[in-house]
This record gives sequence, C-alpha cells and structure tokens, in this order.
Amino acid sequence: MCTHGLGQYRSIGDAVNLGCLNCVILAGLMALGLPVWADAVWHCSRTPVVDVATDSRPDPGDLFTLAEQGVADDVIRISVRDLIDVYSGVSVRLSGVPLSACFMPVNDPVTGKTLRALGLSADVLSALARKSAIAKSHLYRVTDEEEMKACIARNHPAVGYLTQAQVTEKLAPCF
Amino acid sequence: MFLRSSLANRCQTLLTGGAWLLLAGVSIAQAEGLKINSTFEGGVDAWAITPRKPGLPPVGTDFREGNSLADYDSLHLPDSDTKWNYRSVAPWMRFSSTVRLNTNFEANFKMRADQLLGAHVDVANIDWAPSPYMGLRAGVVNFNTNWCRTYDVDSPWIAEPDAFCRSNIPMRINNAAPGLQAYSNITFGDYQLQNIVGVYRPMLFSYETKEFGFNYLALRENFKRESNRKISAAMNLLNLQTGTQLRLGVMRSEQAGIYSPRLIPNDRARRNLIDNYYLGFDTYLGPTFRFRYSNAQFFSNDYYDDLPVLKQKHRFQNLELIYDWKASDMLALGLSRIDQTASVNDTAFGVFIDDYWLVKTTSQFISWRHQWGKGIHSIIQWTHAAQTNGYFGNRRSGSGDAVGLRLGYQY
Repeated sequence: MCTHGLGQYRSIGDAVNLGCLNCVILAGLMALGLPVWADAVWHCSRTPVVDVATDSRPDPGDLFTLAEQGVADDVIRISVRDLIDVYSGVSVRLSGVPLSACFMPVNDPVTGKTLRALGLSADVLSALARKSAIAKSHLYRVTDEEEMKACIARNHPAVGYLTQAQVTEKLAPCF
Repeated sequence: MFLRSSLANRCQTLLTGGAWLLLAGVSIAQAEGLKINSTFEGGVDAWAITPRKPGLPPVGTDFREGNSLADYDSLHLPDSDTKWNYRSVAPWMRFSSTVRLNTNFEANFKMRADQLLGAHVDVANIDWAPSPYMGLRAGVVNFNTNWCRTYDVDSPWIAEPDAFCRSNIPMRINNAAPGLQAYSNITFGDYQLQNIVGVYRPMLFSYETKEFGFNYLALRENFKRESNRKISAAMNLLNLQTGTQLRLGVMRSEQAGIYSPRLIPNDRARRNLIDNYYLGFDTYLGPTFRFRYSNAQFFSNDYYDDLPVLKQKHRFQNLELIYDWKASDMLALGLSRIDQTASVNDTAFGVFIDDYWLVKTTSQFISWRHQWGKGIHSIIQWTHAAQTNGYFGNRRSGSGDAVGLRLGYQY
C-alpha cells in the first residue's frame, strides 16, 4: 500500500514502479489488441478566486515544490493519509470544511486498480456512500468521467480521479 | 370529483409553497456565501399493468365479504393504494440539499414527489457534529431504522421490491417525523459501527396528521387524533474490507384518539401500540455480485376504551441479488413476501375471532438499470405478484403483472 512518498509522483499508478517486464507485457497486450486501462490521475478541486484572496497563501518554498510537481498553486493540498481516510469513510476536514471524495462503480476498470493501490475496495465505498447510512459520509458515486469532473467541482474541497490529467477552472491534478 | 379537485389543489399549493421556500432558502444561503450541495433527480415512469384496476365496490358492500378492489390492492402493484390519482405515465422527483452553516453545523433538506407517496418533505433539520464520531439532529429527521433507498442514486429499481419501503401505511409509520436524534460513528479495526437513537412527535407542525397504525383508513370522520409519540434505535455494522453490512432497527409508536361526538356504540377511545423490528443484511458474493436480505416486522395492539381488542402482525421479507454487470449497467432479481394477520378479542361486544383477517402476498422482480451518461439513466422493471386475502377463513386469491420503464436525470 502506498502510504508515503507519493507526493513526488504524478499519480498512484506512477508510484507503483513499473519495471521493464511490465512494459513488455503492456506492449504485448497492446499488440494483441486487448484492452489496456490507463493509470488514474488524482485530481483535486481548486480554491475559488475569492477564497484564495482571503485564505493564507502557501510559503514561497512550498510554491517552488508545487511548481516542480506541475500542480496548480490553488489546488487543495491533502496528504496520502487524508486520501486513504476520506475514501475509508473517515471525516477529513480542510479549514473546518469536510473533504469530499468522488468514485466510480465497482466494475469500472480504472476504479478497481486505483482503489486497490490505496488498499481500498469500491464495494465498501458504495456501502459508505449510500444515503440510507446513519451518519452521512462525504463520498459520492458517479458513473463516468464527466460526472467525476462535475462531482469534484461541485463538492469543493474534493478529490477524485480521471484517466488523463486535466486542468480546468475548478480542478487540476494533485499529488 | 370535488374531493379529487381539492386534493389536487392541496398538492399544488404544497409543491408551489415548498418550491418558493426552497428558492428563498437557497438564495439567502448563496447571498451569505454559504456552501450549498444539492442533488436533483427526476424523470418519468411508465407502467403497463395487468389486470386492470377494478373500480370501487358498490356502496353498502360488507368489506368482510371481500371485493375485487381489496384483492387487487393486496398485490401491492405500482397502482395499488397510490396517494395521487394513478396515471400510467407520471413524473417523479427527488431533491436533497445540504447547507453548511459553519464548521460543525449544517442544514439538511430532502423532499420527494411521486404518485405513490405524494409530495413529501422527508428531511428538514439542523445537524450538529462537534466531532467526526458523534452528532445531534433536530427538526424533521429520517428514522434511519431501515435501508429504504428513496434517495440512493444507485438503486436498480423503479419501485423497490420491499413493500415496507413503498407502501403508504408502513411508510407513514417508518419514514420521518419532527424529532431529536443522537448518533455515533466509530471505526474499530476493520469495522465501522454507526448507532442512532431518537424521540419523535409526528403531529408537531401538523407534519403527520393522518397516521394511526394500520387502521387509519377504517377510522370514521368524527375520530380526533390526540397524540402520536415514537422512539427508535438503530445500529449499522459495516466490514470495511468486504463491504458486508448489518442493520438492526427498533421503533415503538404510541398513538391515541377519541370519537367526538360518539355516534355509534363502537365509537370508543382508541390507543394503538406498534412495535417494529428491522433486520437487514447485505454482502458481496463476488466482486460484482451482491446479496441483500431484509425482514421487517410489526406487532400492533389496538386498545378500545383501554381494553386490548385487535392484534395484528405484519411481516415484510425481501431478498435481492444485484449484479454490477458493467460500470453503466446493473441487473437485479428480487423476491418479496408479505404476511399480515389479525385477531379480535372484543369482550365489550362478545366477539372472539382468532383468524379474523389475513393477507399473504408473494412477488418476483427483475430489473435492468442503464446509465446513458450526462446524468441520464433508464430502468426497465418487471413484477409478478400473487396474493391470498380474506376474513373469517374465507379466502380470495389473485395475481397480476407490471412492466415499467423509468427515464431519469440526475444533477
């Protein structure tokens, strides 16, 4: 389980070191025309302009680190521990506001791989996200990438994943 | 005709008033810069049902003789005992909204409208959560003693197999009311345990004025409801590795009323005690194959002038297999059984009947849900139901089928 050192990678998938053998297998699968699922790229919501103006700005040192990672400086900043906690149904708060997490159904191929990398299962997430739960979770089930983007944007501060890195007014890659 | 028009006007007023209140609330919240999170689901349901629903029995028909309408309603098909006049093609909607007031307080609102249960505010409360492990809710709260999926966005059904969650009478008893709740949410090892206890006063703010156990339809117009009190407790245990879940819920309802003026000798003071127990079990048989079982039981005791007269038992059992075929498709099979019995021991009138009334209904369900993208989904559902009902040992049987199509949109 990737619980540390993830910050230097672009995605959870990158954090898993794919050796040459994996590259050969990947190339073989592509040659055979079998489906190959891309690694997910974690995306976080971006702090709205009004909030950025009133919120405390990151230290210049942090900005340098963030720029090096290719992360927009107004993207919310969470740790891998936060990521695992929020997807485990544990309440995580940023400046007092609950962090939300968006996920796709159990048999979405990207979801299975992505959540397994965190030691989690989409079955459990679905159970935690149901509205009939006694205590409300901040997990939201979506069915495709368009809904994932809308979910991250609507539930700021929020985290989710997409198959390709995308930067919009409301979200950007994180980690 | 007048009654129908009056009902339609009231529904329209309620919906219009609710919509204006909602808009005003959202506008104020936005103006104050508060964080609002809202979900809307709505669409159209179309049903083809056989046989056709029979008309009302002739005036003066003794209900104990049985009639084709009572037989039909015992099937619990989508046009049985609907709150609004049934139409084969009808709209439905669900709306839920949360406004975060500050770090620990949030306001919650949920409402629905459909022809089965009408327009209804299910949640309108303030939730205070001083820590991630506990909280309090005050206002109109959901009892949380069951797994009804009214607001779940991943339900494979148009109408749930569990009649406990889609029939007017049990829903009145088990859904929501003004009250106060305390809940806890703890994780230990691989388990998450959630608990909740609550006290409720359904008649407050005229929220629920009709409920009177399972017999409210038999009450005459001169009956005045005086009190309605409820208490409940529930727990939910979830295995965080396997997704297996267990829900236990208990609720006691106590209602009282009198006939004023007393017009006939049987116009006696009434008191109703209902105990409700719920067991739900949900587990994954494979990575994409889910099994779900629920068993809800009601034990109802009716007192006439403080004498125990009518005893009823209602049991709703439900079994489902849900298959997540693809990310966009879900298939489901369901089986439900309803057993309802009543016995009378009326010393005042010298009536002692063990087998006073009985209804047994078994139903099978198949459904397919497909996500079309951009928030649009469709569900096709088939239902077959068979029933036996009757009074004093006389039995009448019947069966019916319903095929439905739902087109829905979620934002």
